[in-house]
Amino acid sequence: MSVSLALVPIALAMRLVMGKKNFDNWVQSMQFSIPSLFEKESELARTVRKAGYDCEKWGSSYKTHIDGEDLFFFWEFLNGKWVAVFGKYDSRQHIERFIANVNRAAGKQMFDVSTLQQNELKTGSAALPATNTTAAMLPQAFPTNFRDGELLFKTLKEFGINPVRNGSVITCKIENSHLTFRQSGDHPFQVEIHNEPDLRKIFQYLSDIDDDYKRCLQEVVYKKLKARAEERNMTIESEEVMEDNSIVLTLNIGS
Amino acid sequence: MSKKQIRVQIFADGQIKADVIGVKGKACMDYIDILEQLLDAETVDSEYTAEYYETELVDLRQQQKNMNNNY
Repeated sequence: MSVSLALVPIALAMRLVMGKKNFDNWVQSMQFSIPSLFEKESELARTVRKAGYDCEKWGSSYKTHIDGEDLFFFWEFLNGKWVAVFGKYDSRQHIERFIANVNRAAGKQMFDVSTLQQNELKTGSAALPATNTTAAMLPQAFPTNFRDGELLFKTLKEFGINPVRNGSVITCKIENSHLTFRQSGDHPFQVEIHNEPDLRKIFQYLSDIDDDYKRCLQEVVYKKLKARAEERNMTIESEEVMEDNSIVLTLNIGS
Repeated sequence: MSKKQIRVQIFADGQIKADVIGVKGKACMDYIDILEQLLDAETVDSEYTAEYYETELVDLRQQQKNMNNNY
């Protein structure tokens, strides 16, 4: 063997560990976004690094740590600008220090102050202080691992709930709660939960949907690999389902 | 001569592990793009194995030999 790779399908954002035991972590992952003025990837990465932080490519996003290994966030490209997406419960102190350092490294304000002020009015004390930052709070919006709308729609349908699709927005009802899945560009869907008498219960449903989505994705990847390998004249040497339900395919790649 | 193969393991949680087997030296790098295309996936981690470095060592020795011949 000469190189060993770990890959994540484009349809999946491996950000969240769902599952019954992770409810608290999931609640804490409720997000708020701080749009920046960065338009180019290179400018974003250069400035963030100059400010003393990492800026690591992570699929179509970037990942930056702001407190050692413990606290990090993702940059996502929305409407032509890079947006810093923090967890609602992330340390305000670290976020503020990060923003101040980036502004200093850039030599100018890189975060839109007017948006912050609007959001402070909307969200009250939960928003960052009106220094030089901005925060577009997304109330009750939670991150998900889903990036493929078709696959999400199929998974929800097979799950037994009746999803309705309107463009890139998928809505459905679980018990008495309304769920709205929204996606910007090819970024992961966020789910907004309206009327949630029992958030823990909704989380358990979403965990099950997450499991089903990944199982569907495994099948999609398997079928796609077999079809594409054949197109490239690669032959299948062996195929095996392992005890952990993973599928192992060994392909001959010729000379 | 060992067989050139790709071993792909698709996990139930969607993650994928792929090993390029029997491809010498830097040529194995070509398969990173190919695998990403075959799987519609992005590489999040990669590790060169002993075989890769052994081959590189041979290459370096060959380069040194060529340089010596040129002088």
